[in-house]
Amino acid sequence: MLNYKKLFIFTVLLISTLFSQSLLNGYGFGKKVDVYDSASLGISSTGLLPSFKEDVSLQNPSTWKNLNFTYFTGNYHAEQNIILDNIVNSVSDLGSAQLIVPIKNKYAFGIGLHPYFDQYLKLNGVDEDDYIAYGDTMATHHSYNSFGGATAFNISLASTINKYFNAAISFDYLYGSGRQQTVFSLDNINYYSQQRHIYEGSLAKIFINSDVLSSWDIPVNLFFGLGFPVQSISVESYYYRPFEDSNNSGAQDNNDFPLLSNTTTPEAINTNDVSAPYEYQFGFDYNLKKGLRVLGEFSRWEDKKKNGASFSALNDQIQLIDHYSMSIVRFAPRLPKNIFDRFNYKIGTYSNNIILLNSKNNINEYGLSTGLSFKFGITKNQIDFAYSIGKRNGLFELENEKIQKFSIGITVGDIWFVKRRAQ
Amino acid sequence: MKNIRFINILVIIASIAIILNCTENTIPFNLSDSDFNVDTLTIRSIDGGTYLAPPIMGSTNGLYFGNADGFTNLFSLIQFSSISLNGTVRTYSLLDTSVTVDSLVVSFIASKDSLLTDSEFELYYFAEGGDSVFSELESNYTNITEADVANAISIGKSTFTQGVPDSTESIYPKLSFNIENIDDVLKFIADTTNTQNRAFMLKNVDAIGEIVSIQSRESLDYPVIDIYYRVDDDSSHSIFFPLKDLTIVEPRDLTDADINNISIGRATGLKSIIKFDFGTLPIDSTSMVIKSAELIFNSISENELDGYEIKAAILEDSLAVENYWEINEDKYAIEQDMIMTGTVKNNQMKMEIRSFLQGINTGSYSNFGLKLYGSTSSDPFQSTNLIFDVNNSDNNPYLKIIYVEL
Repeated sequence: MLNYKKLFIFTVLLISTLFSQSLLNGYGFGKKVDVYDSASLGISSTGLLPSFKEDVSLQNPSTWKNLNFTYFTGNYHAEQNIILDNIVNSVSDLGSAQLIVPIKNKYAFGIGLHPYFDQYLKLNGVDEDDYIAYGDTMATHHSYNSFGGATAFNISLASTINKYFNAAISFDYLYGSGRQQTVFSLDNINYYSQQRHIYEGSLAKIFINSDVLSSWDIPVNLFFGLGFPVQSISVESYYYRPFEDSNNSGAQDNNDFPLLSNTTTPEAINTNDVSAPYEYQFGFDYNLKKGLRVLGEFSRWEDKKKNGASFSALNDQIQLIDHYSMSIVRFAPRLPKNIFDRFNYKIGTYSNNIILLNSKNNINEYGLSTGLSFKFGITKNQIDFAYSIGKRNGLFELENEKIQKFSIGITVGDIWFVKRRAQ
Repeated sequence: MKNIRFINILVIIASIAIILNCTENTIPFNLSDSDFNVDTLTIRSIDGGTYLAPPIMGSTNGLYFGNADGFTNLFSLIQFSSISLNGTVRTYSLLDTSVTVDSLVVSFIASKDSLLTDSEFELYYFAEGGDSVFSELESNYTNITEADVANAISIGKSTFTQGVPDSTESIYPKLSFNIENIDDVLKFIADTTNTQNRAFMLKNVDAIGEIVSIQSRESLDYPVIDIYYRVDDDSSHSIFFPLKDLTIVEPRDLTDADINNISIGRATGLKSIIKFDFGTLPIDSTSMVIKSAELIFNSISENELDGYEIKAAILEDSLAVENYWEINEDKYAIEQDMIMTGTVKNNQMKMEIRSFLQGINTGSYSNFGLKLYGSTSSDPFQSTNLIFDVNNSDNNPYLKIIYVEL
């Protein structure tokens, strides 16, 4: 167990909200991170549908009672975005971590960390211009940078309700901070305006899954999710006084104007109820034949508040994301006969429809995904590989964006809450 | 164990991938709608006046002698430190009976490398209370007269001497006083009775018809006392440096140009106050940065002073301003942490004062105005007359502000 502890601590330390930059990260509090575990990425699911094992999703606690071992899972995530056909951004990081403890195939609980909002964005103004002041011509240029985002600390509880229904509730405590820089260059001297926002909020999500249709010999599992804010997201904002970066160091110091030692404390403003995300999810898992599943999902993420635009340099916020996905999974049999029986094979397709609040701009995203899982060890540890490719249309000024995601998930199991026989 | 080893390998591979697999490029985007923009503002609502206060010549780069252009340099006063340059020898330790002082020389170096006068100079000390004779910040010809220093005791006389330079060096004329009555002088400068008494007076014996300058403690070759001594047959040498010095000068008479303009001159005692009406200034430091705020004065054409430096300090208190007034003592308090410098060039004085404006915006300073006075690095016997004419606004001072607005 010592090694598991080390792995858990290492993973938690490295988890961040560092995802590749996209224009969507500049709206409101940033882009909602929709998929963060490898198994779900393979089927383009938000995590509602079983993708890890038969009837188990690592992100849907109502399915955890189907696990026989305690699992710890961590994900390495890489993402590449290509904008305007030639501007490539890519980044990779450990993406999420989750500890899942099933109890007697009836109950389960789990704790985890996963990214929620991503704000990483660096815009370079194409608006270079000259300004004539008192006869002197000065070149001007704008740029904008934002960093950070919000992370969710997650606690989940699950229970079997009856023969056909399982339910779970999970709580996400959101925390994190973002920093925004607006940079105005005048004759190659940069002027910075900076803000820092600290986010806090808590969300709850109820999961239900049911195979009630099996009583009519319809081999379908149904999945529902309803997310709502327990405490809407509040923001503690710090507005720093602008400064001239006289020595071009990228930060304010005592060679700048005004001097760092002469700056006053930033203006602090607390704003409550700035974001109230709701989620409505529905999905099905149809058992075509033993081990072969067809899965479909609809998820809607909606921010009921309209304050996010004022925290965005792009003066807009993501109001709604509709997610549709379809996938086919061939799960490995319980008793593998050969090496190929140790693999899960997945293929999926998805479509996202994103609506912005102010511009009412409609951004469409669609793509394909595939995944491969390999089981090993007595406790049925698993390593998941997933790859997704997609295209986003309708981005203001940028037209489209190509997205590639690659993820590796490692899940290791152990036996908890089982009485071991005396040696 | 196999599993753990496998996981460890994966973690290592992932870590390497994290480091290697990152590409960062900015996204081109039209940000012209950004509120961050540049703008300009010209302030012409500037009021001001000139005042005359007795000239304080402390902190200048030179000590001055001779009479010229209406100025009379009466004498200079220098107070030395009680501790030597290397910090290990104190003057009172030289009184120890085991110490034998072989020579004691007080030296001064001219400010220019040409020998300007053949006049004799005489060095004096004050038998009692010498260090309280003068204050570098307050002493002037009105509060310290020749009568006040009449009790000074002559140490000796000397003239400037100059070595012959080779082709690559400049040798500045040197004025050295090799003290003969070492014991008397040593006793007064090494006084152990806690009577501060290390002040000297230097004055020219013969009349000098021009201004002659020696380097003051603010200069590279400041006055020194060289003492060579022995301790039990071991020879040593210590140098003592000046703590404060100044010249007492009687200023020239003022001209109409001095009185009718914004006039500044250190030895004349001319200083000025200017005040700004920032009522229309839409500058808010929470949302903007001043790129430049250039104060521009035209100077009268009769008085060309390219390179002449003017200092500006921020007034701490409100002050009523007239065209011209006289005071016996300059008690107009200034903010010590912000001194701005302007330079005269082509009959214009330009001074960057954005720190003043920024301080007003942040509340660090109040808009009580600026005190203008002559820089210590410029010739104190020159003065500039900056045009301030209520009847001719085109020629009046103005402030050019360029600011970046969020």
